[in-house]
Amino acid sequence: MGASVYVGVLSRNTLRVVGYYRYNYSDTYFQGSQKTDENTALKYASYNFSGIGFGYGITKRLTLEADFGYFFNKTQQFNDIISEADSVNHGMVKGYGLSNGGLTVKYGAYVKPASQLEITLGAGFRYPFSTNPQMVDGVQLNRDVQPSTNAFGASGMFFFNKGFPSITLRLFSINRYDYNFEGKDGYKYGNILLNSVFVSKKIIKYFFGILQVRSEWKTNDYDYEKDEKVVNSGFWLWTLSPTLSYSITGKWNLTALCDIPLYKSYNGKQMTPKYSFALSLSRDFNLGRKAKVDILEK
Amino acid sequence: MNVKRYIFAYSFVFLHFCTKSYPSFLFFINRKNMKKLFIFLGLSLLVLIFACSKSSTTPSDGTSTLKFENLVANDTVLKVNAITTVTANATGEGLSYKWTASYGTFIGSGSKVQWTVCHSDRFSITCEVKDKSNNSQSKTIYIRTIE
Repeated sequence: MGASVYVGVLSRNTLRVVGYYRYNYSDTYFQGSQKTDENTALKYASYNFSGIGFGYGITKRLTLEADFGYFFNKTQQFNDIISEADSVNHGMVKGYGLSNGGLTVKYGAYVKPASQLEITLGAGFRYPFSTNPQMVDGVQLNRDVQPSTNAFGASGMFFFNKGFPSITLRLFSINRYDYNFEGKDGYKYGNILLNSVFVSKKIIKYFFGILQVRSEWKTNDYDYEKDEKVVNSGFWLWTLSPTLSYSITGKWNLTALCDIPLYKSYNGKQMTPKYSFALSLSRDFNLGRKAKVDILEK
Repeated sequence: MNVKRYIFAYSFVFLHFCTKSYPSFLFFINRKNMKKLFIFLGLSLLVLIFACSKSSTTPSDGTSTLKFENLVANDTVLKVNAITTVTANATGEGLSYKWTASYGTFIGSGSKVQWTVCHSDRFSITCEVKDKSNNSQSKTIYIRTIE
């Protein structure tokens, strides 16, 4: 879920609520794995995004999750030549609004609490809140500032978690494949394969340090109206994410992370992320235990 | 959008009946938990159904004042990341303009906009003009961009 570091299934009757916020800034073009500033359109691009996710443990092996998010802004600032031609917005284009929503089912295929080993499989689908692209003042915004893909998607997930309590260390991995379906305008966003490995270590009481290495591979977008690949789309990105997690009385969990790109290889010529940071706050509610207490009190 | 909406609704109804008749259909969910599952999925489905937008058009009253003469671009061949001006020449009462493109960025709004794109290809730009009576006409032009 967003900026969180949760893997695996929840205990039965546990409800988890996660709120998160992410800021991303980009100001460097890449052509392949090399920087370029030759004939580029943008000065920079950025976004402010916030999301909320809910997870519920239906059984000890089955967890359902739902999430959706909102872009406060998705902004592009064009270069000086284009900015001078725009007397109203001075070359700044902004989109905002709901991104896609998602529903995920996670199944704990192998759960051994004694050895702190867990293998979880997941499947989900993502849906747009609108299948029409966003228009501002009668003008369709470009795809890069649209808050939503305006199309459906499906995901397959594989999670691995292994704890080493004697050294307060945990190793876990999130692997996910997102397939995007064609939108009604004949445009299909590329599919994404995400693999990440995390090492989590207790630093002091309530504080955990987490180091994440993440690989994101995205295929080219496809324009079915022209029956051709979109040249300036698709990438392979490696990111390092140092993360600090603080557990408040074992119930609340506050997590802060930043993304530092390690390696970028982009198809065609594209604006690439420079840095990103995220905050998340989560809380687990044990609804089962509360229900039992209520019954006893009555 | 409606078709997709019905497919989802029918899928959930179908799943519900399957699990009622054959509790082992979803081997990992027992009957006790089904209620919670359906409450959760039902709420999620409601969000999905009500969030999806529905496009609508108001019928014309037949008193059209709209005349969309032409849609012209200053350049029909353009260098990548250069800008061109596209103008919709139309007459009528209370005109509004809606611009869409297969790709690229519009700058400005109204009857005259500027447009740019970051890669070479052939792109369509469409302008739909509506008058105050909701009569509409649209025209499309094509611009080729080169490196």
